[in-house]
Amino acid sequence: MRTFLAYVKIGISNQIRYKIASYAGIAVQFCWAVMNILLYRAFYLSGTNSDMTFSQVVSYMWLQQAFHSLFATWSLDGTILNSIMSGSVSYELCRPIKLYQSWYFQSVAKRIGKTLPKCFPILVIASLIPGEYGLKWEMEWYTVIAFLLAMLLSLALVSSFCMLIYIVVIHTISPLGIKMIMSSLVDFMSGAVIPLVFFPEWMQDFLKFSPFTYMQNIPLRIFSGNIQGTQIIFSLFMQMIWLFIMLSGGKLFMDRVLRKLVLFGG
Amino acid sequence: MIEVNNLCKNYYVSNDKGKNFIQKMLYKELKKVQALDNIGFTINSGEMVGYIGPNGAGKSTTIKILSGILTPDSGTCRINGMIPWKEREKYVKNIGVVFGQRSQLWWDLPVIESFDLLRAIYKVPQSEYKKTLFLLTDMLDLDALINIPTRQLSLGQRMRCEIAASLLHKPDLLFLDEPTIGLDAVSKKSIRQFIREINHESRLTLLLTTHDMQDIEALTDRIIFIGKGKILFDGERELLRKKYNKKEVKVRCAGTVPELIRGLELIDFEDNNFSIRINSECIEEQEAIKYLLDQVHIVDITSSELSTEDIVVQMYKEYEV
Repeated sequence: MRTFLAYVKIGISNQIRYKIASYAGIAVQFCWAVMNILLYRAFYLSGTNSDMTFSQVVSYMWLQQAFHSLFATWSLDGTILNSIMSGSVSYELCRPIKLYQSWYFQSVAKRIGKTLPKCFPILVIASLIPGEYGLKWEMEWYTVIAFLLAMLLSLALVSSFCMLIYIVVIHTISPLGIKMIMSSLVDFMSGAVIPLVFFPEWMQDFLKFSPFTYMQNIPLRIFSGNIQGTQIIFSLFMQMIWLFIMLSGGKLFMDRVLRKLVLFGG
Repeated sequence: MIEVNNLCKNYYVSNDKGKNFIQKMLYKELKKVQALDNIGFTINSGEMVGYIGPNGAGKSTTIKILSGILTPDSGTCRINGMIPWKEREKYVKNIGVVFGQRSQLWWDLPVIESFDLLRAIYKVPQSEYKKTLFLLTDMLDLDALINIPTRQLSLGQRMRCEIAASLLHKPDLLFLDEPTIGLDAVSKKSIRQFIREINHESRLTLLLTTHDMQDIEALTDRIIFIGKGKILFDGERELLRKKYNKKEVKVRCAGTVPELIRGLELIDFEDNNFSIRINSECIEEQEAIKYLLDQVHIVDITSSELSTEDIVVQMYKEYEV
């Protein structure tokens, strides 16, 4: 745990080294949220019958942008990819910590480091916006707990998914191909492009059992009040199952890859 | 402390020779490269050993196997009673590694933050860490450096920090893979000085690979020489010197060339000046010089010994590596 906190600390201080990038990130995320909200307003004005009310969509969008760096599947840790390509991973292999663990800590830490400076300004501004365009904080105490729990699980799940990509990259060395496939496919299926409620029903049924649904969709929908009661419990349960599968699969996979590892040069 | 027996490791590199573009796209052929071929040696606790050989001889591969990063194809290796690649996490607690061509410090952050992270990874108690850090900053003169981001350090400054980073957890075994690569004379000297001190003070066992023969001369008594994956020599540096070194005495004279007795050899001749080489196997140097003094006017006498560098070049030639 101490080691994890040390990683988080260095992750945050690494991120705030580039202050201007953080400020720019806030602006970008803010604009995205506004654009998305306006887009959905147009849909709703023309009349749709979906499970999600407009104010729920608005909250969903604000939250999605505020925690964008926390859950984005395509945001792979460049330091890790570089260390694979350049071979600096050899240093990490002579530390008394499992490579899976140290990479996992590193990528979670980086996500937290990226999100912390960005999320608060966006949340504050979004809450101050009056009327139907603002972020609504309408939660019971148990949904607050469920939301926080879902956030943690989502973060853990997304990171464990990215670990699989890193492990594949140890094998292929170049991250380009897999990054491209993953970013388009997973972003779509995890509801980062369109909230999953707007998907056709047969696809929703299918995605209900895929891990992608549980990466960022769940905490946002709990917050916006789109899922309630037993649905929340079912979702949290699924998140845990998928987290367990991804973690144990990743560790197994990593052990196999490391046994056959080849490091050239130097 | 270190016991290595019959270590073998093969690499497979893709071989595209003689294939056209379409064939290249469709399949790849692998060519086996034997990186290590039956390597074996023993290193005792507190010893400093120089591991030398030409590029591609297998030096770094050995270091990577010894530090638990790579798994060899066959052979055994016991260090501190452990097999490095089998019990990696436990084993590496007591070793330090410096790869001269890579960096373990966070690029954008002040060096001290990387040190703090390493402290957490190695779980070094705070008080002990402070003591070690104080000692290292003092010996390596890091005071002014540790609060500067790594990317703003010069190579020599960075290497000093890298070495400190590898010693924060007080290992009793240190692998140095080309620690002086690319450094200027002053930095090299200060790093050598430090390595000598730390070996002396804490009985640190050291395995050093380098292409810089001055490193070897300044630091190690024992040399392991490797070429094409095989160990070609393992022993005292002095032994090598005796085997290869021929002391050479040259006498530069003015006047006419005298009659050359056995052991004297004319090497160049120009106007009134000429040089004579004395072959000490055939004639005593003293006697030869006495003889020459009687015959001609001596301008200069030079005596030279082969440096370790020359010896190594000769070894490369002899073993055809």
